[in-house]
Amino acid sequence: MQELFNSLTVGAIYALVTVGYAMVFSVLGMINFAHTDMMMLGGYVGYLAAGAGLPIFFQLVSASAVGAGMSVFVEKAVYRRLSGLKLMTAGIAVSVILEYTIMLIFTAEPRAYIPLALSDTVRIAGLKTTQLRLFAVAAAVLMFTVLAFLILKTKTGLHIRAAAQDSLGAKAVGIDCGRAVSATFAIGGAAAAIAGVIYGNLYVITPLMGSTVGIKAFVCTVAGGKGSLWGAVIGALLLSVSETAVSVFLGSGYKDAVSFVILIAVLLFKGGKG
Amino acid sequence: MSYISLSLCKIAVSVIAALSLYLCSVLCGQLSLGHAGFMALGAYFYAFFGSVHLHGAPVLSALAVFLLVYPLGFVLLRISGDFLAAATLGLAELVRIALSNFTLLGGSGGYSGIVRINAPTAVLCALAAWLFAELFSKTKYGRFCRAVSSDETAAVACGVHTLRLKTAVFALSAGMCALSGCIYAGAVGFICPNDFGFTRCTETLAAVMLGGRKPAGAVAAAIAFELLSALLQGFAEIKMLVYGAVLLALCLIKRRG
Repeated sequence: MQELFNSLTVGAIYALVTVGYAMVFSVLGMINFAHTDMMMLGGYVGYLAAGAGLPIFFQLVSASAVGAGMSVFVEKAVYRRLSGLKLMTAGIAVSVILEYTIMLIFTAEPRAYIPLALSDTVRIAGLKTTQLRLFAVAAAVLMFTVLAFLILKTKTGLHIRAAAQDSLGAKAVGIDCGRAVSATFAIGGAAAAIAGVIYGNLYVITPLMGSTVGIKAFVCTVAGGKGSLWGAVIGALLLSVSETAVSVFLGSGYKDAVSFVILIAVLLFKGGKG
Repeated sequence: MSYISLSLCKIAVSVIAALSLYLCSVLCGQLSLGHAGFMALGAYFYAFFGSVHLHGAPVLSALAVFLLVYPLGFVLLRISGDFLAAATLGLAELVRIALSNFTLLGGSGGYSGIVRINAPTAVLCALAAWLFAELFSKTKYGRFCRAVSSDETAAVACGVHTLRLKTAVFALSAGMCALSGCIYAGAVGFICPNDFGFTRCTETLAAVMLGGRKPAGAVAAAIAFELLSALLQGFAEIKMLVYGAVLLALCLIKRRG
């Protein structure tokens, strides 16, 4: 039960990363290998901000700004010109470049944030947790509410959803699809960067932390029904709970295998048509 | 083992790996991100066969991986495009995780004391792989592969049994990649599951993309990259940055094909 409770935090982080991933996937049909590097980037921006003694609010704001900026830059400079397998390969290339640039600057050494003053243990209904974890879940829920509002209630969100459903149809009714795609990347990059800051406050960050999360976000996307906001949340929670179950019953060495088994199974059943 | 022969072996490893990915991803158009996993399987089979003193361990390991992947291919190659890439990546990661937890062969700590391979054997294997790739691309099956890669629907209409062909090529390519894994294991003498991660995959992919449409191109690119990495010994980050930059530049320059 305690483990289950802890897995909620991880689920919240997965969900934040998956949203952007799922949106890009449904708009462009693209498996964006570089998406989770926005999370890594956010983690490092937050690390710098934390090192400068800034409170978590500023860590989140600066990270999301950098995440959104980099995401849009990559989209405009690279992705816009490509399609198909070339597009995916370019994503891999961008991911490699980002990861190893950060490794060159910060070295591969894992970095830990300066701890916030929130490490006291709290008890809720017999379950132990720290204030920090509660705060992380709260922040994730808040971010998710903001995201849901942006996507479901604003005009830009409507354009994004239209482009995702049928880009030709969206163009026909006068929606600027290029702008919608940029907006998708901006929102997705910001959400991933925020997830990175939350992750960094709970665990340690490394330049390659994005790569395992990347395939997990893809699993949540495909398993949760592509491009649906709530599908991403449900997929993320299911994955984190089943990972916890596997590490409790089979040993933590097999934890990461869960997502790959689900990935291959889902792809086979859907015949690779997403 | 001297520095020169170790370098020759490493070049042979890259060349064979690039040729195997060439067969599957360039000639037949099925992008695989899972070849690092086949390489790992080959290396571990070799370590195991070597430890029980079997003759011809590299050939046996390649054959074992071929036989293992062949039935799997019939299921896996129903998936196409980006999704195949994702599924093969998942497969490679599963192999890595399974080997990390398989304590009989050292688990994540790795496996040492592997029977060594000498440089002439390694170079001979690389030349044989090159010859095979050249000859294969000239046969009618090579032509079928090119047809599948340029338009699968049209290939079906012309009577090519695409699933059977793709599976056969995928398994052949996996077997060849396993051979490169054997040479790696035999040259270094120590293997661990993390030697065969996504990094290895990126390196091979960059070489194959640079190599273009001919097997000789893949060979030349693999050798060039291996010389580069010998030059950048101790600067692993810069090496990976160069790989990333080359990959990105190639994607942007060669937008079609």
